[in-house]
Amino acid sequence: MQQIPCPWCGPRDDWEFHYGAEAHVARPETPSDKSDEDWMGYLYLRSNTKGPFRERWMHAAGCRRWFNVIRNTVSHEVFAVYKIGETPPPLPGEAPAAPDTTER
Amino acid sequence: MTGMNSPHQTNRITGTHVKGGGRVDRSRPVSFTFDGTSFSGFEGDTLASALLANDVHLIGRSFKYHRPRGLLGLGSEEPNALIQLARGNRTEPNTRATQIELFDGLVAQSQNRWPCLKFDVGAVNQLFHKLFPAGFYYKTFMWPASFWMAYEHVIRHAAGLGKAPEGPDPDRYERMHAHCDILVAGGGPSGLAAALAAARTGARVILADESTEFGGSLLSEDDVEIDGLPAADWVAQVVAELRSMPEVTLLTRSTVNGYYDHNYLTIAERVTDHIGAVVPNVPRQRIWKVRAKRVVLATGTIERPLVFRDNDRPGVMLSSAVRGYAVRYGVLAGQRPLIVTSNDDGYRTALAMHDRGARIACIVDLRTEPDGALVDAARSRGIEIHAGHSLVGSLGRGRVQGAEIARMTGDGTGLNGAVRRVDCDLIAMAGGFNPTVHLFSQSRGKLTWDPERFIFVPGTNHEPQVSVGGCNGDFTVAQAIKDGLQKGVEMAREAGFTGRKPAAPEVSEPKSTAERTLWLLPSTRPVGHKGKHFVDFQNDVTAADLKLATREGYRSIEHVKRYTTTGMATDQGKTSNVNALAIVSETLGVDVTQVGTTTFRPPYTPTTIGAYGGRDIGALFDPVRTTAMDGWHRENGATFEHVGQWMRAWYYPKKGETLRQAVDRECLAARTGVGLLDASTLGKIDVHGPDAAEFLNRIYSNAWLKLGIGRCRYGLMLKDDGMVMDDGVTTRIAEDRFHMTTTTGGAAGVLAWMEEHLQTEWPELKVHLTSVTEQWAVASIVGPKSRDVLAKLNDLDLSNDAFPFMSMREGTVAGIPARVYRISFTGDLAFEVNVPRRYGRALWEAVMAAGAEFDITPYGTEAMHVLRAERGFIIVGQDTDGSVTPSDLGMDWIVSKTKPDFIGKRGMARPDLQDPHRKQLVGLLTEDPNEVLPEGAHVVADLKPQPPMVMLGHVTSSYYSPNVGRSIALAVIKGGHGRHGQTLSVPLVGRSLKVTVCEPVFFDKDGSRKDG
Amino acid sequence: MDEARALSALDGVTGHSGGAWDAGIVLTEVRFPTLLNLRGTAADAAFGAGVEAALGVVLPAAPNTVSQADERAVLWLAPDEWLVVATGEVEGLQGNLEDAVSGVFATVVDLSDNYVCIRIEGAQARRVLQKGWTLDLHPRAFGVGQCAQSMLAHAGAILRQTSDVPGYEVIVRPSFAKYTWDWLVDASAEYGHRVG
Repeated sequence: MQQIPCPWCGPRDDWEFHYGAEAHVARPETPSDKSDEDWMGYLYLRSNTKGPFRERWMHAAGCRRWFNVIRNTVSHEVFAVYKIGETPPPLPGEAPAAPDTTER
Repeated sequence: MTGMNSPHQTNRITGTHVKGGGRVDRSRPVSFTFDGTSFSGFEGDTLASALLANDVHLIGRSFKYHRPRGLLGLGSEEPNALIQLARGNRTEPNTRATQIELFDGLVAQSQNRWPCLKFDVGAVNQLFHKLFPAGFYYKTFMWPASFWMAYEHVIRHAAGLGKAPEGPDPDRYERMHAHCDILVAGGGPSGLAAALAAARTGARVILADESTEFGGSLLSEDDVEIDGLPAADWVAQVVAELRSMPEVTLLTRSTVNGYYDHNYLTIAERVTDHIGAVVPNVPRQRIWKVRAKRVVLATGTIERPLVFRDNDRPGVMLSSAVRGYAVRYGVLAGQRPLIVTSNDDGYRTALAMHDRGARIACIVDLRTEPDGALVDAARSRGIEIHAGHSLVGSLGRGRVQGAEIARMTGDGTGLNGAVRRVDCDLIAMAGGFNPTVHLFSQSRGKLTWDPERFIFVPGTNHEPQVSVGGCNGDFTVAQAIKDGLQKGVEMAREAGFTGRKPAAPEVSEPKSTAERTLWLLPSTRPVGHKGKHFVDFQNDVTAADLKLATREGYRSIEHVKRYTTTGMATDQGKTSNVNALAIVSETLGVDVTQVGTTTFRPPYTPTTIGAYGGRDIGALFDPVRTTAMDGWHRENGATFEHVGQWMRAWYYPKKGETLRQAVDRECLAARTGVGLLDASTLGKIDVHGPDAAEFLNRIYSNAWLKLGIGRCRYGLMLKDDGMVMDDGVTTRIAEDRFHMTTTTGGAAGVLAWMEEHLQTEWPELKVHLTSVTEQWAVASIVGPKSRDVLAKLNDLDLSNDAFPFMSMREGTVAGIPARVYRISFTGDLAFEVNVPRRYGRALWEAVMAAGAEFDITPYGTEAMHVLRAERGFIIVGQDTDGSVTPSDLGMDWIVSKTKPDFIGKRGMARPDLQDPHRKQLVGLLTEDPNEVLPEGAHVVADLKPQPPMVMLGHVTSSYYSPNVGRSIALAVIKGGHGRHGQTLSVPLVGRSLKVTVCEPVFFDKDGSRKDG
Repeated sequence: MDEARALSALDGVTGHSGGAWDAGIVLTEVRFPTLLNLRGTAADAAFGAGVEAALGVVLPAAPNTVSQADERAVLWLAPDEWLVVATGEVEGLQGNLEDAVSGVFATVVDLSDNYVCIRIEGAQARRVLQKGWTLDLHPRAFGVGQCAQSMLAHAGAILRQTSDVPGYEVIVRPSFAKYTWDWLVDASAEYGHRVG
């Protein structure tokens, strides 16, 4: 059984969680602007990634918080966990996002 | 009783040969029966060792050919000696005699024979073996398909592995969750060493071994010394130290049987199996579910059988097993053993048997020039050695009485000399050892083929783990201990502990020289001609079957395996997989790695379903949730129905009443007088915060911003695809606080759904959600006289002006602080009284007392359903199924046209959802007013004598309505809104009914009754 | 209010107090503690100060920990959610707390009837719980001052350790109370149980 690391409660058995599928699929700000095609894409089309994948989990049996995980959908290895609203870490093997230098 | 006067055991080593006294307690004789015959053994015996002690070799019949079979192995690898244990509902089939500990009164039966073991009718299958080739099921029984039922009846009778009990299992099974730093699977030399090294760092260690005591192979050797001590004494020392450490959990009789993701492992512990009797309150078996930071696999090896003609005859055994019975149990499996070996290890068996009084018939060595210390030791004892010889075949009836041997050609593929007969009563096969890589493979580790030694060894691991000792391909005790100590401390360090590797002990053990691996021993005829060369003993798969499969074009071992069933029996091919793979690759002339390896799956050994079920049985199978008024319902004769995990009062029959009569009475009372419903199970959510109204405005399809304080509103919740998800009444308690209700079944899902949107889509909204479902007990007082009843308990002004429909008042009811909601799920005047749960029963009783003069009638969920259907109120999940829009339900009135957005708005705008031919909610009336349609029945326009027919939709709700005076039904029908007045058909089994489509409201069509 | 009319979900389930003196497990219903669900922003100093002023207990910031002072305990449930468990003098507690956090975005909800609290104590209490509680209760992983939410067998539960005996409190919904009690009694069978 997989362990999912809740950012608050720590690693817990996977059954404690609700799986939220692909992360960063934002609900459009003004859905009425969207074409039927785009709306269908939002509702139904997901990337179905084989390998490292950004996905959402919710700690249903615990603190009920949603968060994001980068997890390999084949090996089940968990690479990173980050909270809603945080900048996604790079996928394994991917160049990190350019550091924000505005304050330096 | 002492050993002195216990019944004689023919093969038990006694007298001057007590060197091999074994680890049984000879002062404690134990009696048992096998196939009805009484035998005697000793405490510490397994059923297998005790049967051998009594010279019983014939223990079962094989699966396909019903050939007589005896013991092959010593432990969990045993494929032949499957036993039906105990009687009645405690009986358990397919247990291995090698793992059954003897206790007084044990009852064992052989399997797979009829009418008895010695004369088995099914054995005629052997005479027709040409009818049972590889793939015989596929070839024989595939056509015609309708005959399968007949075939199956015969096959099930003839085959089958044991019998399942028919009644409930009287034993107790439990589960235990555990966490540790290091889990060590296997308590042989390497496992003990790893556990010791890890434990000394202070790590939490679990050491599990499937046998009755720790020590593994060391318990079966008499030629190994560790630090100058006999191996078994070293084992005892290590175990004693481990036992003294508080953070070490030692589990014997415990098989690590499953290895899952992220170092999650299961252990099947046999807690009281060896006691026999039921120990009150103590489980028979226990499944441990372990999360380990690191895992050490120390699962040892399994010896390979040699494949020669009739190598399945009782008395043909693995060499290491023969040695184990002698050294560990003090039993000579035969008085005149022949050893056939590819290596030096066979000589250890010859020496152990010889030194315990057996007369060695001879050693047949596949190697042409064996040498070394062990060979010298055999020669010095005068044991006859036939080097470069093949064991051509076994001889005997029922058990081994002799063997045929002959010199081989140089390449080992044929014979190069006359066949000679050797008399013997036992053939010990030493074919080399396979690392037991099952758990490693289960954990998705990649196996590597060692082409020098012809074995699979652990390659790349997938989980944080390590393999040590035999299962890692290290076959000497010295290396196993050294490696165990090293890896044990390394794993502990990885788990966050510090410590040094303990010094490795001095080990004295026999040195081995090179072996000669031959996968198929040459015989006088080609395989498949006269006699059988078994590869998989349990599934009766022969070398000829494998060769046939390759001739028929199979190339991958995964396909050969399924076609021939090799490796697919309950032993998962523990003794057969590598032999099968090698024979296939040799036949195809390709490398083993090209044929592939099979994947091992949990459980390692068969495990009873009872153990996995644990205590999740009977009343503890699933929680039964009840309300605060449940006791009253029970005391007053209610009948109950399950609604999810909830148990709700269904109806309250009076003496002699049928369901229909009771429900009719309840429905009439709720419309003409007053009824009382326990509505406590509805989901309730406190929605609080400055943005609460805005949040509801986005979640519900209708408008919420302007709802007055103290007012209630019905709302539909949609998903973003525009489909109805849930419904309920929500009330504004304060400017920034709402009390939301949901369906009983939707409560948890709705809360999660709203939390998801608050946390992920609209984190800027300041809203807190709190489930208050069980804070409140709810009694709905329903009907024209509900106001009169409530007035007696309450000093609120209950008039329509002061307390209008769809509003809420706080006050007391029967002296209990309460919230009273004037909402109705029947259409009639109704008051829903909410009180803190602890007062639920007091409230209910007070209302019943106050209502007595009005003949108040408690009603259950069945009447509730009828009453709401009379008014055409939907039940989400019954009249909807996730593919129904508000428009489909004729509920456009609840969809805001002015809100710029809410969940579901954009979805509903999709062209498909505007289609007038979608399935839409309608009412259906049968021709016969007493005919109640079955829910789920299909509705068609064009009725045909038999399917297929074009189906327009189906009945979602259907009842007899006493208030309407006829049956009523709701249905979803294609283009239903345009079909009012049409006559359609409902085909049923053997008949059909005509129905008229109507508006889905059957009673109080103008809704005028809500004010009483 | 007339407390005699109040019924717990465990009334009629637990049986009378008593049992074998040497029972390995003692099961006790903690009858009607005051339970207040508290939501707010942990980082908001005014919120934390208000809670502390009203309860006399510091808001626990670390996940799954408990702050306790006398008969007031505050259990961390989520980054913005806590459960106040109070016994003894509780008159006005909810009002005080509401007043103390009224200036910030915070929510107080009375859940005293939404839960039932069972205490389990005894030398074998940890082993009994581990039959149905998957989280690690070993002293290195869990102790007094810690709490966790998960499932006890098939019931969602809040668990906290209250003593080193060890003793624990299990908080479940009332509709799961009978199941949980029955499960605990069954799991305690091999050690015997006494009703406290």
